[in-house]
Amino acid sequence: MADVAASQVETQDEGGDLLLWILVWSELATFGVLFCAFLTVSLFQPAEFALGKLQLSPRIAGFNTVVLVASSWTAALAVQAGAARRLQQIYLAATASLGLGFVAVKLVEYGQEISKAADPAFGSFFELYFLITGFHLAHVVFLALVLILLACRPRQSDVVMATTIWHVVDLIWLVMFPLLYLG
Amino acid sequence: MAPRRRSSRLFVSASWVLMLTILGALTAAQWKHQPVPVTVICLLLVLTVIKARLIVLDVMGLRGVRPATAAALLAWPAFFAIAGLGRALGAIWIG
Repeated sequence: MADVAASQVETQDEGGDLLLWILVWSELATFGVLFCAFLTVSLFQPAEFALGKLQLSPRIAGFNTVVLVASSWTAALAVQAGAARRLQQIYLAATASLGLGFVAVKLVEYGQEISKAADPAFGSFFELYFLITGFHLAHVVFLALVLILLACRPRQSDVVMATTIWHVVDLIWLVMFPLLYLG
Repeated sequence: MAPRRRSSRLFVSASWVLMLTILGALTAAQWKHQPVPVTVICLLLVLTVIKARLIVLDVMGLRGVRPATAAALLAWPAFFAIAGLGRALGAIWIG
């Protein structure tokens, strides 16, 4: 009986693990396609994209990168906290707060850029910019809400899953920053 | 890896990632509404790959645990760093 129960738990863990990595790779594939589209269109509209990039604020985006990297650190600490439930809750709440801080800064940045979105002088730059960064922002908002829920009732397997996706979203932003804002 | 050693490695790697990110952000901030030189873009893309490596191996905890997954995850930012650099160089050469 105990063997059957142990086997069921193991199967569930393996299933959860597989699901996690399928999710991770589907995220990377989706953003990979978007980055490829951005780079390809930029080859056809080099002047418009160069002009579009000059309208962005690398200072704000750089600050947001620091915020997101710090949130990845607290997410890793939440996993390490493990059985120390109270500490894990604090780290999860800190991660979610930093994530929501990222969202707030990004919305301020959007406020400065939205008026330029319809200008034909920038070609397809702002359409792709808002699509890619907006999709990423939606991930941050959703995951921050998931982390808040987890902070209320943390379970180690859920924390590992949510923080792994959080790290992937951080990784995507690390690549997005030089590609969209500078390159 | 022992939990204490893993904790210490996380602290060191996360500190490095944070410092490199601040360095990258301060560097990028020097060119507000101006084109960024290719050498600077190259430097920032290299920093991106280094940060990605530290995040995948130590922050995500894949060092020595899942080498194939870690290598595949590292290939993703490396590919786009090379593609971004290629585009920046192409823009100069093509004009």
